[in-house]
Amino acid sequence: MASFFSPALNEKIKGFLGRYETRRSSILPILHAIQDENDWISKEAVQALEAEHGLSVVDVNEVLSFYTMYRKTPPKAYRLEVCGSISCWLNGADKTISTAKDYIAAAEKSGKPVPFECHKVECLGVCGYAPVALVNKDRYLNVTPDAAVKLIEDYSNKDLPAAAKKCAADLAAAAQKP
Amino acid sequence: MSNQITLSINNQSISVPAGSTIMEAAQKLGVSVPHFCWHPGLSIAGVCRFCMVKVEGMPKLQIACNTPATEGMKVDTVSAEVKDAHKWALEFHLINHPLDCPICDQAGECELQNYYMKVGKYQSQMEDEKVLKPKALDVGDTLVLDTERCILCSRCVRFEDEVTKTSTLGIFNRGDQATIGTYQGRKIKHNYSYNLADICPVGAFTAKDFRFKCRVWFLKEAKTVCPGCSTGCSVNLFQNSNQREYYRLKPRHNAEVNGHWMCDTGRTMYEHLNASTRLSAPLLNGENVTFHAALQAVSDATKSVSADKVAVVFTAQFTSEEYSAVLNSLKTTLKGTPKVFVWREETETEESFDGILFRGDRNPNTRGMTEVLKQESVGASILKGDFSALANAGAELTLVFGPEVESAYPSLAKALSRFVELKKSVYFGNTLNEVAKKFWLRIPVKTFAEKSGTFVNFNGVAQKLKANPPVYPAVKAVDEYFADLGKLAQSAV
Repeated sequence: MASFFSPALNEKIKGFLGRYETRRSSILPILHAIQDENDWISKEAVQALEAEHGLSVVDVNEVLSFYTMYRKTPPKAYRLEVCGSISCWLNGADKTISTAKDYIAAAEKSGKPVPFECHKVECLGVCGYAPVALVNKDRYLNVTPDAAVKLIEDYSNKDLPAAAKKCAADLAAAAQKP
Repeated sequence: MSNQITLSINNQSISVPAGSTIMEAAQKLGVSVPHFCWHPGLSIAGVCRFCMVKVEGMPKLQIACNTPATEGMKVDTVSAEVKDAHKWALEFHLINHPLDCPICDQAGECELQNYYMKVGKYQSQMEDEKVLKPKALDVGDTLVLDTERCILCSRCVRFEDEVTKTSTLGIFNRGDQATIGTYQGRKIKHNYSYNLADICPVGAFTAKDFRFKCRVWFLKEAKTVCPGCSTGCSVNLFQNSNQREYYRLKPRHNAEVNGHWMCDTGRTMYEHLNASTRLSAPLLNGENVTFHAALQAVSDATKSVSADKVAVVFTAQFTSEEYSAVLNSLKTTLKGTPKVFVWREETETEESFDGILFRGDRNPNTRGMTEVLKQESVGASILKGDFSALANAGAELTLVFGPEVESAYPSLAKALSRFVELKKSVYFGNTLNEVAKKFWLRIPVKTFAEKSGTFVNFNGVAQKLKANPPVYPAVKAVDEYFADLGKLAQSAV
């Protein structure tokens, strides 16, 4: 039977499994690797870890459900993550978040949705340039409401990242199955 | 000794092996330190933070379960500071506990409830609503899980990881949302699942076999031995003495035999003890007779035959005392040794072992029986699926001592129908059984719960049974019947 994971990802997982004293210790980096490639971690992925790599689903799910930064549902292609901790909050992070969310909702309503979702996150560690935001793994400083809208527009005009394409393809394939 | 260290707990001095924890020293001394997550049969987790003790020289209170004892350590478990810590630790455990003791099956043997009565704050300061979680989850054939009552001590998770190595349970999510559970509705499937209900300090895991059947304070426990297999786990047998009804077995700690655990098969060993499944009167040629008449019939039958025309069929489910009583009594009355057969279940795999406790030999006293036969210098032939040895013996009187635990003999009916074919066959048994009605004579006997005696396990450890009041007072044990037979024979002379 074909592996649930791509050959490259399988190699990565095997590398992590051999890296630590116990196999359980490798769960965190393995889940990150899966998320980087598939954009999220599905139940099928967890079960495939048990079936193909012998990790207990209970152990994996304990880790997966503990950490909020693992995505357990299929996300939009881009995640605008705005810091909501004290420095950013004082410098108008809330305004940035509400503007971005309104922009995304308005685009949705107008029939031309943008592949974006916006979250408030904890401190991103660059308090000197508040408010700070991430788009997927890219960091942006001084993200005012206007800058946030510009970020969304710029990214929406680009080609989608590979992980998002794979995520969409996987979902389409799953929908095909009875 | 150099590897012993001495510390003092509440000004009482105690010596323990180096490397012991304060908790172990306290247990040895008999000082009770409140605890939830610590269990002597499992690894140390240190997550419940309830076993706080004061150690002289340490600025803060320490947990007794995970603090190693050191030479000259001075521990205090009763000061106001320690009691205050217990009170507050309990308050935190109760933040999201539903406190539904009146409808909880654990009530009466719940560690949380006991400690609440002992050291609880009684007036909670919590204003927030309690977090609601899944209740009455079906997590297997034997258990029901209520995650609201759970205090996340992780005993069950460690049991699954360390004892059965099945790792079915985990703690998912975090903070006040954290719950014990199985992955995606998978079930707990192993032969040791009832232990989870035992070690659960609260009512999160309850046993399907016992829940809502009887309140625990109506039950009296008797220390006895499990008759389920040749391991012979030390158990407590719980009986409601007003109803004369048995409800369950629980393991009793015995380092020599079973440690802290017992198997699910052993837990069913109360089912054949209750009146509804028991024989109450002797049956002679299909008609109920008195116990005296039944014994008289046996006595008369033994007079008219020579020893080599008498066959005795043993199963290894009786006490050592019963085997010697039967052999000695028959030797006296028959003035010779009868032919002895040992009936083994034909599907049995005697040497198999599941690696924890459960053995393929489903008889509790195989070793004891062998020892008695050797001591009485009686040679026995084995009947296992093939009964021709018995059929060819030409016996005119056959005494069959049937298994007490019939579930251990799946081909019982087949074997019994072979015994029925023989001339004058007598069946000593305890359960209602259609085939046993066809014997010339059927005599009810006591079960392991009602008689005194000894079981010797596979390893040669002899353990005593404890006699509870019998369900049917007229029914006796095999050794008592044979004592009566001896008296009958004498009075006839």
